[in-house]
Amino acid sequence: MGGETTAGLEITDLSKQLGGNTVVKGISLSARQGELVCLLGPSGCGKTTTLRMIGGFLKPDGGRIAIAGRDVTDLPPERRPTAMVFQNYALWPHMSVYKNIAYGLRLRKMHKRDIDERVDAVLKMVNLAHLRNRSPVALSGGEQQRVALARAVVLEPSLLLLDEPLSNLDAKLRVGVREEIREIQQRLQITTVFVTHDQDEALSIADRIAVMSSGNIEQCADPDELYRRPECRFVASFIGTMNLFEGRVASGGVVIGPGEVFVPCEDGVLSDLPAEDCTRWEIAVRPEDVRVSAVGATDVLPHLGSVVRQVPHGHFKEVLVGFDHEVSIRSFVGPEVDCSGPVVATIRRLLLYRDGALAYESRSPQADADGRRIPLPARSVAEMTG
Amino acid sequence: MKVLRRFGQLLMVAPPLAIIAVFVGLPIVISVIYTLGHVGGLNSAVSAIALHDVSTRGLLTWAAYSQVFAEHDFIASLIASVVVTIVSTAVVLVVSWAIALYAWRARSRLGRVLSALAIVPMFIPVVIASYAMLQFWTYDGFIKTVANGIGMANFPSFGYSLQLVVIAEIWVSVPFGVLMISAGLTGIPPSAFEAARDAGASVARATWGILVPMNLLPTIIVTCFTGISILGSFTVPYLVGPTSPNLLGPEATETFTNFHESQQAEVMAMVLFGLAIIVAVPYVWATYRTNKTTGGQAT
Repeated sequence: MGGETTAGLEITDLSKQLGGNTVVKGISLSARQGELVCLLGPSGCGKTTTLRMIGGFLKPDGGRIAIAGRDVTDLPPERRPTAMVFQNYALWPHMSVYKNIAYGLRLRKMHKRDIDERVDAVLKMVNLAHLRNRSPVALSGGEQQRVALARAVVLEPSLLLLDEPLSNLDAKLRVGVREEIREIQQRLQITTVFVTHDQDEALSIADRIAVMSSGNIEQCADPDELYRRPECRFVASFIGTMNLFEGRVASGGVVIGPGEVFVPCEDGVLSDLPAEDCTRWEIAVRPEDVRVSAVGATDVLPHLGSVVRQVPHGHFKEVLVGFDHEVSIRSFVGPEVDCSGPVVATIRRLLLYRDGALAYESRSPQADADGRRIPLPARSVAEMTG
Repeated sequence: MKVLRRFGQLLMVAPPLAIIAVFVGLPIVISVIYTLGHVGGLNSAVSAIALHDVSTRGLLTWAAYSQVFAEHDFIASLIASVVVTIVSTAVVLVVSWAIALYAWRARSRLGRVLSALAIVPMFIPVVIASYAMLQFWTYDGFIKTVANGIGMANFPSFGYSLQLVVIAEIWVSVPFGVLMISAGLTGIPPSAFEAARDAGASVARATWGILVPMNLLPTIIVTCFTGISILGSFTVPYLVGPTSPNLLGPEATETFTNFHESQQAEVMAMVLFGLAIIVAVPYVWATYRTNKTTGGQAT
């Protein structure tokens, strides 16, 4: 056991039924001490139910929850070493900012001087020292959010629970507050579970992301792994933008859609597969793994397409390349790519799924000789998913 | 133009104001000066048939008040009124909060059934409820009969007692209490309560420290309105209460109709009015405070 890191959170076979439906289906999840794990999924996937079971607000029907090595499954919320930031902040309007934050410390019968010190320190940390005596109703959404965070953090919990804490903020404020949350979490090294349905938020803040669907954890991995190598079709379609087609592998490319449109692949993309394969696959290709290049009007190639729509995003363009039979591929290209005439789409990397599970992953593409590979910042990924 | 508009607005509000002034305000003023010894003018008719009137040749006199406060029966009834009001209001508050809180927290079928049942007394006329109470609690009532049947001959009977007045007042007032407290609680997000539990508060502590202050205005409305209603109640204490001491409502009525002491009866009404004003002070304060903190958005 020596040298083994203590788990900040350990969930084993957790399940819960609500209104006759099994909302959480025997999930297991662990978080290392100081790690920030995001529960990400669409509405109704069970992420908030899971969080509420961790916080003690719902009693699990089965399974076990351990925090910092201690079984807390049967403990009420007030006896758990957790602190929660609620979606609507849940600040108490009859108390000042100071009293909101000091409430938990007063319940612990701390000396007034110590309470003052800790409240002032945490207010300084969230840059709200000047609003100490203000009523919460007189604060902006972002300020209320930071007070809620301060109220949770001041208790020095072993586990911080954040239930979609940014969903009530406008887009710009959301980015700023999430960076603050991440910075404070890293500074204090608090194990944190962050529930969100916003993949942009999850990808930018989490150490690991557990993607949930229909009460199950479909995949739990770090953001890069999750984006590059989704283990199932659901995660592939849920995280980021993905071109998904029914198709088969042909010599030098793939044949997709009902119209059997041939799309070439770069060398090495299909190197571990037989050149001709009749297997029907679900083919997944990230837009940044589709290279679009203009061809001359005199070139006669069997797989020519045309750009049917383009959306400028500043340093890159999102283009939709249309082929015959209503087949189209989405791609992210540099602003210099000429999209006015016929184009060729070439796949640089793909994933193949069979029965919803990842069956083949091509090697990562090499950068073009002329450096035309499009480097995407992390936030662009979700930005482009709409 | 502005003056004309204001004059028009004043004209619109003038009829109801005039009705209130003539049919409510004027009788109050006449009664007040009657209790202060003015027996002539508009009070001459009532004074002509009244016994033991106190009159003054000077401007006003407190003599009628001194006379009433010197009577032992009145003081006993005053104390009975205050005690019954305090006890009944306290029980109504506790019962209403318990039912509303259970329904709010449990959100179960039982909670909904309990909330619905708590409203039932509102649909039963007070006279019928009062006689039902008597049937249930008097010497030959249901409870006493059952107690005798199982050998408890000394089981107390509350018929025609202040205890039965308290029980009946609770029956009458609980529906309003449950409705008000429940309505207030539905406006509080459950997360406010959960945040307190999360911070380390027990259910009782979170209820007392978070829910009660957040639901203060409805609680004060229930306290004040129930208090005022019980203080001035007549039907319940008249039908199920003792002859004396009883609440000031029946006491004043008896003084007016049986003893023909109109002036003294009106003095008792003034005392009731004074007590009601005292009970209403917290409501005015809470409304003012709520309007101040929420910019008048809360009701």
